[in-house]
Amino acid sequence: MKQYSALIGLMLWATIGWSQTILMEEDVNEDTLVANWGPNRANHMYGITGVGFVASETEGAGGDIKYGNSSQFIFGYVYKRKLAEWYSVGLGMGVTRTWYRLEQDSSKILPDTLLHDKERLVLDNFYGEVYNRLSFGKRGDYMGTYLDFGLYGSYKMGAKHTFRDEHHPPLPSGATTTKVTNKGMDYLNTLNHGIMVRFGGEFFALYGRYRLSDVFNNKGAHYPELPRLIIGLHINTPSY
Amino acid sequence: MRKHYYILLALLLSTAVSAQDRYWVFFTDKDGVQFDPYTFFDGKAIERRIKHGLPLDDVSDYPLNTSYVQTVTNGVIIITGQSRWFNAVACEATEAQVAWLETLPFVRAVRGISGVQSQLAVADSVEQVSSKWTLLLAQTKRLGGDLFRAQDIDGKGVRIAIFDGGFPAVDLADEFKHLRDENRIVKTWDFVKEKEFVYAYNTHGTSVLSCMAGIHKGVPMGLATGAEYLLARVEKGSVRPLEENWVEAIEWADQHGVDIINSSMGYTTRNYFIEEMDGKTSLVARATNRAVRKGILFVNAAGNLGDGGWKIMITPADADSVLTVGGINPWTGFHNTFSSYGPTWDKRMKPNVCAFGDVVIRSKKGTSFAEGTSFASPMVAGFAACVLQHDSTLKAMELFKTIEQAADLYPYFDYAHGYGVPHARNVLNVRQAADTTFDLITKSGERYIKIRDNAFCTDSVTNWQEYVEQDGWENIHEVEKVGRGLLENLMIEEKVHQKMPCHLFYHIENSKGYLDKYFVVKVNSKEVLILSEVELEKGSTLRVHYNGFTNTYHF
Repeated sequence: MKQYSALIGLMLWATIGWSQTILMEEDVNEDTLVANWGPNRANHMYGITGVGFVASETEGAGGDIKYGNSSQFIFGYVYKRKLAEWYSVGLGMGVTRTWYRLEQDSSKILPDTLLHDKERLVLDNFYGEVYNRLSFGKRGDYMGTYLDFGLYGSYKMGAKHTFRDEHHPPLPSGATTTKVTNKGMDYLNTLNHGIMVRFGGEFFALYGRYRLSDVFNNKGAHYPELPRLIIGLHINTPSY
Repeated sequence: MRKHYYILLALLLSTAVSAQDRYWVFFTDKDGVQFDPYTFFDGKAIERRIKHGLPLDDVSDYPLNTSYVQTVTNGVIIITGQSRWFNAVACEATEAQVAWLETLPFVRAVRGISGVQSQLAVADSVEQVSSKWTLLLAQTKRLGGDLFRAQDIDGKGVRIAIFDGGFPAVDLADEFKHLRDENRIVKTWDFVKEKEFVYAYNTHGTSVLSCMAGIHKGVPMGLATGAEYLLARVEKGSVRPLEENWVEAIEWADQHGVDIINSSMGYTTRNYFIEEMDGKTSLVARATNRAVRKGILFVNAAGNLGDGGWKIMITPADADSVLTVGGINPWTGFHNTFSSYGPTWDKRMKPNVCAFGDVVIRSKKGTSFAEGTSFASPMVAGFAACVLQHDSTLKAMELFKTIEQAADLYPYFDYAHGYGVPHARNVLNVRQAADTTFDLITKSGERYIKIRDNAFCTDSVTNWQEYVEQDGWENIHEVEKVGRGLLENLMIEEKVHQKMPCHLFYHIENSKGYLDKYFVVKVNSKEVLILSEVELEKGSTLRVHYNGFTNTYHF
């Protein structure tokens, strides 16, 4: 019986409910909560996507690279923990793909002395970073201008050595171009580390990465060390 | 290897160069400064001070100590502004220079300046659901503009300043010809470029002015077509505008005797946190409060962030003495979704009143539809000018209160509408006590509003197409054949709401004196469920408004 009463009550309530339409309903206390997450709140996280360029020289002869074409794509996430209005610490992680396009000249020894029409080393890394952030100027919940500096470590997820040759006349098979990709090179270090700097604002940041460790391990110790410095620009994607 | 470190070093140095910022440098005193109010102030500024019982010789109006200014000028990158009221100069300086400034014996404090400003308006984006003429006529009629005009009240003798980003076409457009012909643009100043010419740049100011002073083909676009105007360009649009321009403009407006300032701009997330919207933190809020203390009514748009993450009003709309104006939708009759909400962070009611947030404006290119609280604000500023012309003895805060009390929800309020839309009839006539329109009844532990038979009304005709069908017209074109006048009258009366619609407004105020919740309900029958017993805490207050009548229930 109690069940029926409840049902009837519910039906009556529903009938009454239909006789009105709530056009607007505001809960003031919900509207005035202080957020913990935001560009200048205690916590902030945002994505980065950018492009960098190799900006230093190969250390030693035989491994010159082509500037402009030797570049890096970076994609990652950055987390910031605010400790003071002007100082934060943070973590970052993401992936990079770095292309080293090799000059083809008689001095070349990286990774061998053979000359090709085009040749490159491609390194894919997962990276993690810890950084300090100095922020400038008075601002609201807004990233403002900042300088990050810290350390990064990277793990080699993959690497390939690619070269391409064009054939005139064509090869007996009829091919005019051959492209060869070598993987599993054992002369590369799996782990690397370096220092990072980032200077930017709400939407863009200039970044620099300087690798302190060597790309090549003992098996590649005779190779000239690849350029250590990459400078680039990344955009900041939607933040939390 | 060393070369690479140089590159990194260069990167770091570039940041150091960019670390320079803008600061207010506050001085300790104005010792030794001479001041003659009769040469400094416009006659109307002196009149206003006398009316408000303010001293003419007030130290806050004294100029700055020139030796202090010179010392600072020599030690910073550049001086970008100064304020007599705050006894401060604004400058660009490096952090090292700031450290030096703080050691000077005559420097009381150095504070960072807010950088980027948001301008409020989304012009030309309103869906054209009604004719331009309909809305144009309605936007002033909703405030009782026809009643004011019938008594030849159009803001005559009142001086209004507008702060904005530019005023292109004001020197050319027909909509402002009467102002030019009668020399009623009495002063202009571009605080960005420091010159008199303001008739270029951002068209937002032109649109705002049109909502007070414009006349389009004989139809007033705002209520203060007879007022005098000062036009101040205080920002460059969205590109690094300057808080110091704002402060300087207020002092300039005061010097030249304005009675009312309208600002359809403000600062938000880039400069402040939501919890800083307390009317005390931002310098612009403090400056506007000071302007009111000097007898100026300051009207500010609430902001267009109601449907965004920020949601509440901008500053200086958070200042307690600023008449903050929200927007209502002419076709629904209540809150525009974009219009920023209140309360302030310290739980004071904002906005104070509201007006149409969708209007017809004159922009640089011509007349068009536009939406934004930017345009609701000048509609109310024009209303204020009319009230002041009607009763020139009103002091600034009396004018403020009169406008609030003239609003159609008053004494009911909420944080979306304030007290509602002010109307001339409540100023020109003694406001009669409204008849009781409802009763509160309790049934089975739940509270209902029972609307009295003679008070029940519906707003069923809110759609033009419905109107056409109900009256047997085949289509809108058939109505148009009858004549534009009939069409306008029908649409104004029926489609664009000319009074707050017969919705039920209610709120729950807690024992601390601010609202916890508020509602707008479209009523389809005479009995409306409000809330259960459990939702009403001891000490809370239920306030209900329906069809002009407000009742308050304490629990």
